[in-house]
Amino acid sequence: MDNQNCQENKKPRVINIGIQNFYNALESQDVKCTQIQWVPPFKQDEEIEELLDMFL
Amino acid sequence: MQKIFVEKGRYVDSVTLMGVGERAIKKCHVKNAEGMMATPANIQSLQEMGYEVPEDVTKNDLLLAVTAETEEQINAAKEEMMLVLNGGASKGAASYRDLDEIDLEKDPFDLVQISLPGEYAAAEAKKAIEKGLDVFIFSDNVSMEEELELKQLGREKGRLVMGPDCGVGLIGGVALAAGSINKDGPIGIVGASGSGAQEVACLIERMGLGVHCLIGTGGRDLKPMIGGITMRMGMEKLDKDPEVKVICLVSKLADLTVMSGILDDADKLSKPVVAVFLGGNEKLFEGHKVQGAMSLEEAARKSVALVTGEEPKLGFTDEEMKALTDRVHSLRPEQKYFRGLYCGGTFTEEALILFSQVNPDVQLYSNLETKYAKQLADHAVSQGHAILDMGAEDFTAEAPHPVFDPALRVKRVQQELTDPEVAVVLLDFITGPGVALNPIMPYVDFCAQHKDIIFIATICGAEGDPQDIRAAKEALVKAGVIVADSNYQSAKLAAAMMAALDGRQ
Repeated sequence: MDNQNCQENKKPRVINIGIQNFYNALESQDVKCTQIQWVPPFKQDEEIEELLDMFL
Repeated sequence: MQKIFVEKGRYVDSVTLMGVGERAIKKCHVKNAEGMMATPANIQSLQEMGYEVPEDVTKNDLLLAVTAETEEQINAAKEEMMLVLNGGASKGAASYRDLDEIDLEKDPFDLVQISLPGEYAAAEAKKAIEKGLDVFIFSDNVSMEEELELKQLGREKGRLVMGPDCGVGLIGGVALAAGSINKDGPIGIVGASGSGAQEVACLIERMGLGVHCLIGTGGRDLKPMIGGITMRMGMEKLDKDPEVKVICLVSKLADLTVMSGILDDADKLSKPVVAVFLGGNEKLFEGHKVQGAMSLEEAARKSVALVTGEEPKLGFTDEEMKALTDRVHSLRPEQKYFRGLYCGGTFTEEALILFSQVNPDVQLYSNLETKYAKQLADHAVSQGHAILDMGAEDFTAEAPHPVFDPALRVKRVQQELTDPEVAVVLLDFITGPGVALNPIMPYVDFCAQHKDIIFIATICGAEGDPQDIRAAKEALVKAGVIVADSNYQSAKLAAAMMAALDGRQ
């Protein structure tokens, strides 16, 4: 894979995770880009965790 | 009637969400529309607006709330909001839900730009580095321990880790996050201060040259714990890049040992180096080959002069400065105070440093906790000569950062204009493809309406930015605003005006 970024005179290919406006900004600059449809990792609710700790 | 739609397990960033409801209100003529993640605070706020929020939602769910006359209107508003929210997925070449799904052999990428809430950013950055990608982390609230781990991993794998809390970048001619699209040229920048580095880049362009690359490091890179890992890697990259003739380092004043080590390493590079550590003095550079600059403008000037051999022309002449300063004498006697409403953190700091140097006896107030000014009792109420960083957390906890949405600052300017003691108002503007599409024009009308106030403005932006900075500058000038060439020039003029205002009393 070739990803020397700013040592070359070519546009980086960018994966965007987060603010969608930043993805739109990349797209408006004719950059190869993709927006990750990110979802937060599942997190145990603190209350449930405490209850589990009590029983396990 | 009111209705709430729940999108289970759907995350959307707050910057995107803030515009979604407004757009639906305007387009579908509904009474109210809101897009929010189901955090306890958001649920409470929706309940206060009268919405019935389902009990089984979690903070990982997206809520779309609409108030309208008819069911049709409600559905239309929901569809409109979903259209905006799904925009990225429909336009992208491929839609992924996780970095691990991407097979870089089949679908190659170079860089991952991360702007998730801080608690999630480091894990994604680590995945990216391990996949062999450079990372740019806009997110703040990443711990120092995580930053160190990421930067050490990046160094080991030969990957750049820009950030966390990295506001701007320019890589291969592409503006990242809130950066500007600068013209290509012979100067390479490594910046630990986002708006500071962007200002240097845009001033270089204004002085007739261009910037090949701007590598952001994040604001904590020169802390002793991190030790300037990204700044060093950035300097080495630029030193090897045949297109770069001069390297410029930009930072606020940092740890003395780290700065000294950076300057030692910069001395060993094959190319000339200019460095600015805002708030520092000439002593920092004694015994070094690196040329020191005391302001962002000076850093740009010295970098340009090293390439062209000529001192670039920029800024007010002494005569212009005097004539402009004299305008305070035509103000009403009760107009006594200066109000600087900044959205760039480094611009606020550069101005505070200059104000306190030029007018050491003038009392300054700020929302920031800084040695240059007394802290305001309430950031929402100005007093005396007040200099506000409206990108600071006390403001952005209430509303989106003014770089992304001018509404907060527009409201504050209007508030300042009701104060009969206000004489001079200073505004900085930042442009680029990732920030508000119309950051300047919302101010033009009321600047034109308040001829009794002196407005000073400065635009940190590039000709390549989508906002058309030339047209914006013309509109400001037409409205009677004094548009300075740089933040330093605007602060210099403001300092002279403050001295003149205090001299009248």
